[in-house]
Amino acid sequence: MEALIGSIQKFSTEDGPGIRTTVFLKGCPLNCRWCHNPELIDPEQELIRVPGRCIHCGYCMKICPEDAVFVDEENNIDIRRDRCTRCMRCADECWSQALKPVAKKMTVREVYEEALQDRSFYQHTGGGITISGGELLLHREFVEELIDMGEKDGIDFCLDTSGYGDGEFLFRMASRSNVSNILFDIKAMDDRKHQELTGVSNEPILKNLRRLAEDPATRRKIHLRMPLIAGLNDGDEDIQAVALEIEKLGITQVTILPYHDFGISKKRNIGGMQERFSPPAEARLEEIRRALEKTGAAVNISGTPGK
Amino acid sequence: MLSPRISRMKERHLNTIPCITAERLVLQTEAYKKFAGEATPIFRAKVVQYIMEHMTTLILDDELIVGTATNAYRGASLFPEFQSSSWYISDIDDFSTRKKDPYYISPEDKKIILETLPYWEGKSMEDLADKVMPAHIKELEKDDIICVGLENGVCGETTCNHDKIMELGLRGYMEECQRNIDAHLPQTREEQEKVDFWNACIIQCQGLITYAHRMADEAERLAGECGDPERKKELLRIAENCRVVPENPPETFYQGLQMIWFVHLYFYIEVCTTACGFGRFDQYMWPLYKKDVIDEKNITRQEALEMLESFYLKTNEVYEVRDNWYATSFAGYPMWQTLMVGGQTRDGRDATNDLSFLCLEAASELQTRQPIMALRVWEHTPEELFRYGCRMVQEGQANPGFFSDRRGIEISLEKGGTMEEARDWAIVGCTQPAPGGGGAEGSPDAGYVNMGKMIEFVLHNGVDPATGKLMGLQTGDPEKFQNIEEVKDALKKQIIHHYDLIRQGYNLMQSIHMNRYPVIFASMVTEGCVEKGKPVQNGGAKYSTCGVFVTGPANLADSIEAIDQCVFRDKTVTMKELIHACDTNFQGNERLRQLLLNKPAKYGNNDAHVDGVYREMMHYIARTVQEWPDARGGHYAFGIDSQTMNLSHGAVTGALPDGRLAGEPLCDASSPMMGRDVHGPTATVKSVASMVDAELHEGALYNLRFDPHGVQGEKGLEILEGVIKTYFEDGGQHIQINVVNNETLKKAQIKPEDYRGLMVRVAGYMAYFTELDKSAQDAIIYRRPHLASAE
Repeated sequence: MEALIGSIQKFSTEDGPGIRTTVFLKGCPLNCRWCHNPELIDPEQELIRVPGRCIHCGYCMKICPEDAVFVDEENNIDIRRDRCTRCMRCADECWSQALKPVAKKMTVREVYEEALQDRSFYQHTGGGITISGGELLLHREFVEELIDMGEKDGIDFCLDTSGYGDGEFLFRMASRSNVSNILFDIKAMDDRKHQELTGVSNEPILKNLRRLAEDPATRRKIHLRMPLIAGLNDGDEDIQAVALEIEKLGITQVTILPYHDFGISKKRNIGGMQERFSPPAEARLEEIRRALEKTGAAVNISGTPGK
Repeated sequence: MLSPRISRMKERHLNTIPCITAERLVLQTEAYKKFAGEATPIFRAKVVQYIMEHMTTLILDDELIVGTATNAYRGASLFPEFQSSSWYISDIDDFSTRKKDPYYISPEDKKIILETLPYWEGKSMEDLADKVMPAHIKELEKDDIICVGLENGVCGETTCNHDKIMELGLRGYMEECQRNIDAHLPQTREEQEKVDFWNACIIQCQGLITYAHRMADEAERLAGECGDPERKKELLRIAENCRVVPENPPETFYQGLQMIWFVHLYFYIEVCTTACGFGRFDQYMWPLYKKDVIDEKNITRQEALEMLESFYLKTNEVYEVRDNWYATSFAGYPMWQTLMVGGQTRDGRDATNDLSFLCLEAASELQTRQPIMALRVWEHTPEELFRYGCRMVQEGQANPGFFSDRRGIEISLEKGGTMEEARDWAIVGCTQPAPGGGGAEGSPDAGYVNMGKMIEFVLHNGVDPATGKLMGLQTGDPEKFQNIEEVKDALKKQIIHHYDLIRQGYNLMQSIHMNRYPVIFASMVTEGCVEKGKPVQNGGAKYSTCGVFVTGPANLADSIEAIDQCVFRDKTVTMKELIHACDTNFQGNERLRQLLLNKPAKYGNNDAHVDGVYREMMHYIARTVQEWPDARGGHYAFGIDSQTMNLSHGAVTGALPDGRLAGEPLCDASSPMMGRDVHGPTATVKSVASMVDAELHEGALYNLRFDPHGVQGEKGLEILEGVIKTYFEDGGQHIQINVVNNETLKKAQIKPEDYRGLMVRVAGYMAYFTELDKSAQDAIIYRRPHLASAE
């Protein structure tokens, strides 16, 4: 079984307990306006540019059979996406890695072995592997095989999901003994808003979330994560609705992910445009944290010292 | 919280620029003239005794522990018997203005120094070394290709037998020496040498006892003048202490501290020494601490803490004046005074006690450059002690350094220690483990070989491309190498050839030290010397080793891997093209440099192949040089440590096949090349651990820097703990962690006055960041900080 892997990030400390290795799968059914990893939305291989690394040797322009590589008015390397066939010959010639494929095709075994290099760190810190993306529910077979492999070695898994996809599969994976946390993203409770922000309805997402919450064994593994973007989903109504859901479902762990703009340049570098937003002000974040805490859940703000 | 007294003392410490004074130089010159003609050890002992009889007895306000190395606070002395008066004279105006480790000299002292130094012209060890060192070795040293120790320094890194000192006092040593003298009527030269040595020991003990009594007189005098009844009481107590120690065993914890300080201070007055470790301080001080603080409650824990901090401040008062080259290669006034806590007892139980905590607490409150705290970690180290150390590091104190007990024990066994001595291992030098019991002598820094130049030599068949001169071994036409094994073989020959030159030079220096510069007092307190009647220079210590080290090991491994991948496996570039690109510093060929940087694996990313190359090369050196005897019957020991010599050695090294540009620093100690570890700290830790084992007798010094954001909060603490534990479990020996971000360091560069107290761990020692020269600061900023995830 193979999949396109965006990256395997070691020393990952924000995606679950302990020191972890996060595996980023490529492909996501959502298209969030602020997406942090826009290069992982398209399930197909893509070409990404890193203009800062370009040394202007010109080899990419010479090799491109479609004449798709050019230098823009700011002297940055760029791609005419309408012509590019993603043949990657420019990337092969680019020794400075200013042009490169977004992802790498890897087998489950390869991914697992690379992650397992850090096994002793997992053992000392209660860490493990986090599967993220992209959306892992687009890669069910791959995910299941990876978890199977880890089960034999007692490796802990966290699943980082948008919740959009095969709910039965998600429930089945969440029930596995070596899956400890479901990092479940909630963007908005209002369906119209959700569609506007992410391009999809939140109906299947909430259904899957409620399914997980029904069973106490999977409920305690739910770790709700909420990206917060000022003016988009941080209003009192948004927060109240989420708080209500948290309370209703008995969710005990919540992390607030304040917006950051890392997505903008990545989106540009794969040939798109992303709007710039801002995170809620610190005082507002604190208000939201307190509001969510009233549900009885433990609430962290990502990037600040917490438990 | 620091007590008001300690705060005032720390403020004074930070506000005083180190200075050079003339007093010791003048006294020494007088004594040299007075005692000329005595047998060498006796002559040297009498000179030191004379200094102790006449040097200023200086007691500063607030002090609880007394004894200074010179007549001025934060003062340093010149040692013209070791270091050449010629550069003392030529550099005298430069000392106060030079960028690296400056020293103030008052106009009066300068005048006296310049009047006194002509007597020493041509008389130093350094002058002699210059005459006798083979020209080829000198040239290699001048070009920063190798360096050879002992040319102007002292043979000996002392981690003495503190237990015996505490038990017997100097009186006990004097009696032992006298008994030995009484039992011998010399019939041979060797026997006469022994008797001379024992007599010299007695003379030097008398010198220190006299000094202590003079300090007592001074304290009493000050007490008589003192209007403050509290301080008056303190001064009288100081006087009382100085009449008991060092002559007699200490009776209280307070006296114990004074005892250890007198003994260590004496090392620095006798000769221009460094790296005199405090050994297992929490063990030999424990009985007195237990008696005074726990059992009899004579003093409170808080009082003990203040005494300990007063003692720590003392350790910041000793210096060794170094020339410009040395101050660059070992930047930040390092003295490597390591103080160890934790670990296990001689019979294999956990050794942690309340004093272990107090020692860390004092360091954590005080945050001065010295002593260097070393925490021994094993499976039974209490979680609270380990966590205490981790928390200090997390707070950005860069202290303590962590040491694996397992590796310490294995290395000590390799060095010949018994199991009990191995469990009692101590650091001798900056991070090198040696058998405990105070009988291990690790003559420092026999030399360093610049791996960058070794690559250049092999790629030019022995010619240094910088000068066009044939400097190295002719290892064959590089264009004719058929595979990477041939390249590695050539490198091994080239490297060993240069270590062999270090050996030749160093054994020569050792032989001179034996005949002219026996160090008496430090030898006496080192186990084995009194028994054998020999100073450490002559092999008196129970275990003698000489450390040889390496700069640029990661550049070596990365360059081999790059040649292997790009020339032999992929054939993207020919050897000729590669050499040409390096010779021209990749001018007009940046694309090739990018290939070399990005395509071949780099050490530090947990890549089994390149890590294996690193291991193979380092272990080859270790196995080879560790077979070699030194001049005194000890043997060479190899370790991975560069101090800050990666800067000076990098400055003379051209571009390398690993993509490093000409003149850039080489890698730091056993860390990956700066900026090449791109898979995060866990991968780096794995790589470094994978190449360390007990075969590296001097261990491997590993610097790791985290951005504070990556390790904040309780989770951050768990992460630090996990990183250290994994490193040790995988075989690591030593790790030191700086938690500081680039913004802070850059701000400190711009506004140093606001960051006087900001400390960084440089290389087994701590330095105030703002006291480092800009290039050394930049090198620390350049060490890759590890952030937490942010994809």
